Amino acid sequence: MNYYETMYIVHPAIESGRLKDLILSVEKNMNSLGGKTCAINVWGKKKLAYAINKEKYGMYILFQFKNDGKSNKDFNLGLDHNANILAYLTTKIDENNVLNDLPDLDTQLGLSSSNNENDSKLQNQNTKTEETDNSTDEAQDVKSDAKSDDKIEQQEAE
Amino acid sequence: MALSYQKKICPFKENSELIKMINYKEHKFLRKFLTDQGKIIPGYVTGVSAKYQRLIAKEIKKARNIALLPYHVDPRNV
Repeated sequence: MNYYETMYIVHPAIESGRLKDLILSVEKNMNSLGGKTCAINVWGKKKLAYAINKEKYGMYILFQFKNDGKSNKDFNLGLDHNANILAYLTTKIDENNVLNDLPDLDTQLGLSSSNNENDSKLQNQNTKTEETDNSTDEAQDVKSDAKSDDKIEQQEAE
Repeated sequence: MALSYQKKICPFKENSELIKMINYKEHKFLRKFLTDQGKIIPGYVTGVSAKYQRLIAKEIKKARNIALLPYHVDPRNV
């Protein structure tokens, strides 16, 4: 088993809802060929260095998977026949270069509204705890500042 | 050329962390090794050793395939 990654460019006119379906269909195609998904990273809309099919922009998506290399040819053929994919590149990668700790596909695409609220709540809680931590720190700082001020005053008096 | 000869040191031998940056996904870094026209700058100009120049050339060609870097840039259009 080896690790591979495919970077493909999706047509820029596709909306995020349909984009998710396309990404999942590509993933499903790989899984049906015996591969195992490692990571999906959505780079977002970027300007192409040169026009492909008269398109100047494209959505870049990085898809990393684990497979024996035999079915990569069929996988690439599937990408070739997909009209919404402008270009693709499959390369072999090292196990160390597999991306970890990526957010969900929904959050990467900006689709999940309910999750975002939960996240914001969590963030608020975190900020509250941080604030309390900070307040104690600040209190200590104030004390130390007061001490240092006293010292300076004493020095000046002397 | 002979008069202004000064031995260049390979940047990848000076700083081994830069070797990780030789990847087609780091197209902004690889742009340093291209001219304004989009040609690959030879190693004797940049001082990159032959070993890493081979890697750079390979990765630039991958990045060109996926439209992260240009094959050529027409200076009249810039």
